[in-house]
Amino acid sequence: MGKNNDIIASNQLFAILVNIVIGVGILTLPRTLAEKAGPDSLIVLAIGSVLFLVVALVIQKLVTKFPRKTIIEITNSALFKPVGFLVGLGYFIYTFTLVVLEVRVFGEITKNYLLVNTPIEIIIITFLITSIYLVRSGIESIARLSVIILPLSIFPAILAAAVAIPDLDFTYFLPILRTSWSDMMKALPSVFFSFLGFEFIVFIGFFVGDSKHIKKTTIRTVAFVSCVYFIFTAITIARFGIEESKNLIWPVISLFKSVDIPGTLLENVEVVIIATWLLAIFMTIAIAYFGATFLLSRLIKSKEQNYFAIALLPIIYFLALIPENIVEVTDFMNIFTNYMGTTFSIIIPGFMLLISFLRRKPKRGIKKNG
Amino acid sequence: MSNYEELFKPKEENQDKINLTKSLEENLKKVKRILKGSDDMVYREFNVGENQNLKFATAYAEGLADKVIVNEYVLKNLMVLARMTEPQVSNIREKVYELIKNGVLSVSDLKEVDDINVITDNILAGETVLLIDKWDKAIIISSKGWPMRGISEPQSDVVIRGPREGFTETLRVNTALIRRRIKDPKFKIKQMKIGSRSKTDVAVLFIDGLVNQDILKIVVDRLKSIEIDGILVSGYIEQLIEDNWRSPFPQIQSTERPEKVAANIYEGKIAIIIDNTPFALIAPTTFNSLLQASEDYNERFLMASAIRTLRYISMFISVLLPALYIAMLSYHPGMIPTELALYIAGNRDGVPFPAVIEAFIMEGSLELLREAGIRLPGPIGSTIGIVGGLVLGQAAVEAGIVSSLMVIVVAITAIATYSVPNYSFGSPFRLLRFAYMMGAAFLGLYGVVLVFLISLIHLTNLKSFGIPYLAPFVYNMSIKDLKDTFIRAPLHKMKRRPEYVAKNDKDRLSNHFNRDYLKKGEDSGGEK
Repeated sequence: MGKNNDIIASNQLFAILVNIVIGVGILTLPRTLAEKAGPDSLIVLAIGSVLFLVVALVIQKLVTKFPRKTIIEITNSALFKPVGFLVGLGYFIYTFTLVVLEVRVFGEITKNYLLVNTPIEIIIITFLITSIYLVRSGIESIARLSVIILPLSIFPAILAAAVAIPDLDFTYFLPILRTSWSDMMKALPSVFFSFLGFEFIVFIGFFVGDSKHIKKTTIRTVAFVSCVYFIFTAITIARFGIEESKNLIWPVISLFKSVDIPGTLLENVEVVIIATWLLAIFMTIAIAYFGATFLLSRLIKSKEQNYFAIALLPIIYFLALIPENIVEVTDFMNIFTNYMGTTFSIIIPGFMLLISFLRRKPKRGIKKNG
Repeated sequence: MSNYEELFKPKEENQDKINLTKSLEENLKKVKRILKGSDDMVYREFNVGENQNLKFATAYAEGLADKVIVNEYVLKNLMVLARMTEPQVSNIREKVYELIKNGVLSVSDLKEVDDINVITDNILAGETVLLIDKWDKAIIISSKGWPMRGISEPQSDVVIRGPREGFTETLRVNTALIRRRIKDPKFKIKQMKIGSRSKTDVAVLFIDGLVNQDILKIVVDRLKSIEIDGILVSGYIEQLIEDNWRSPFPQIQSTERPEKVAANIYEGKIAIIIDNTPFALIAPTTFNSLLQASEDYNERFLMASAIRTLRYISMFISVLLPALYIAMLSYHPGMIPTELALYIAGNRDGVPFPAVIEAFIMEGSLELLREAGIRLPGPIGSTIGIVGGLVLGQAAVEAGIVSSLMVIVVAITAIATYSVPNYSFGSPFRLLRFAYMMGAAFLGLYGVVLVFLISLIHLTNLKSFGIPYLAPFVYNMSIKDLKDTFIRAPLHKMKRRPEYVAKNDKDRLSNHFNRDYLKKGEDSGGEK
């Protein structure tokens, strides 16, 4: 019962992290994997997940070392003051851009599959207003909602995918390990980037009350997400084959489309699945949105986080409408995740951890001497 | 240990104290002056003693005080029996109070007061006051007794298997009904008066050591802070102390069933009983607990679990069905199987309105019927139901204003709404249904998802006395928390109280109890 609305349990952190990570990325993952790794997609996915676990543990180590601190304060204490501001600003721009991109992707998916005749502007503005409600409700509400949304969004999708099992042909994954090592290495980053969002822990970790359990939560999160990815990649590629998977824009949505649940009341079940999947995307965006406003309020040391949420809305709205079409968005997103993602999820946390290790040792020495 | 006594300390009274004087006439005059214009007051002056030299007076409110008590056990004793007993003390005048209290009045509950305001308050609450000449104190004789409704079967929470007792309008009867179910000395009934004019008795019930002290403090503080002229029904208190008044969802449960209240008190919750209301309030309340019926615990667990699940599904039906129907018909006709789509098209042939308008007409008239049916006396009410439901629906379909499928949708929705066990919990769904229909009308399935999200966000924001409204769903996704939600686990598996409320004593069922032990006993019994 935190009175300031700023304490979450580690179990809720798990739900939040899974909700951030699983969102838009999974929809295209089978295609990128099929393009780059061919029949060895699943192996690459497995290796990539393990590697990401290492990265996640590095980030987690940093967060656990500085309980109840955001990346800004961490940097401040590890280095010196203005750097913290710059790093915080970097994270703000990063999360903010993510919000903009994902809002656009969300709008495109909704328009394509649910509301063909409705202008995308309406979809985006209604969506943003709804997410503002959540952002303004604070982290505790976000945490509670994450716990509820997680099963609501993932189980229908897994169920629908499971219906496709009789049609699967796993020979598409044969022969194994024929892809050259260099190709496999090239495919690894795309697995990596599908886990992006996890690095939000550097400022969401701030809210965790029982920071002892963050490590366990990290492992659980990565394990859970990679399981979900594994299931969907396996089923999608086994359903369509390598070649077809390469040509689908959203292979996972196509998977839902191809599913024909026998004896149901409804046809085109994919509409329902997409509708529930929208909940997952909503959570991704809303949490990122919250992160952006939270970082902003920390940067300028203001307590009026709720007003930033409203102030940012028109900016997000107009920026999201700039790209001409979805191809432009995905292209930009690829470049963006390649550079920004690497910087903010690997380089900065790793660097900070290194520095904090280096800086702590001499201090101990001084204490012993004194 | 617990500090609940401190919580209930009354606020400093700023009412002036008017001391009694030694003169009976003066005292009586003062009482009469305060109660001037109240023609239901009965004053009786009489003399006592062999020489008729002791002057007494009684005052009570007619209709509130039990006349039998006053006549038989107060007046008769004083006027007749007192003459028969030989006074053993020499100076009667000084010891008159002890004499009367210990030897004459055959009434168990007596109080001694010295303030005229207290006296008048007590008279108005139904007590009888005995004033004695040459003595500056008065005796309050407990004589509350007015015609009251007997204990009858509850009207709103009906069960098939379970006790038939329901609360009445009298506070004391209600607390007794619960006390009969909790014979624990740690079970506390703390009373306070709320309402500057109505002075309504409000009792707070809880088990010390089980109750969450933080919640108790919030409840008592909020109750104490109420400054209102009168409390008539429990809804006043409910609305004045609930967390979010904007929410359509009730954050306090109200029930007519004593065993439901007792069960909640055993879970560590707090009950509030208000005089003159046959409904007890239970706080804190969660979404989940409003979908629990007391019968669930009386049924075997498989059946109870099935009914629980059904109830959750019907809750979703009651809000979502018309919206989904609109969304599919107007935005996603591709989702409807071809044959059904053709049938619907044929069925809707000639209906002049789009599905949205059709749905609003039907849902609107349904609510109209419901309202009309409730307010009208019994036989006419059911006539309205039949006329409205059957004749109007049939006529509307035949006239081609609505399609018959729409009538079915509306009917299923209405039935689903009634399956919510708590009446006041059913109403937010009725209201939200229209929001979902609007969402579906403007943005199809996406609109429904948006409204769903908004209502979920609202629910996650909501708290009832510091407890998240959606507990236990919002903590962690372990099966352990879901024992009493969509399913109702077997009783011997529910060994602990709900963790989000009970912080102190968590064990409900002894850890040593298990079914294996019982089974062994049965086997050996069979061999004999």
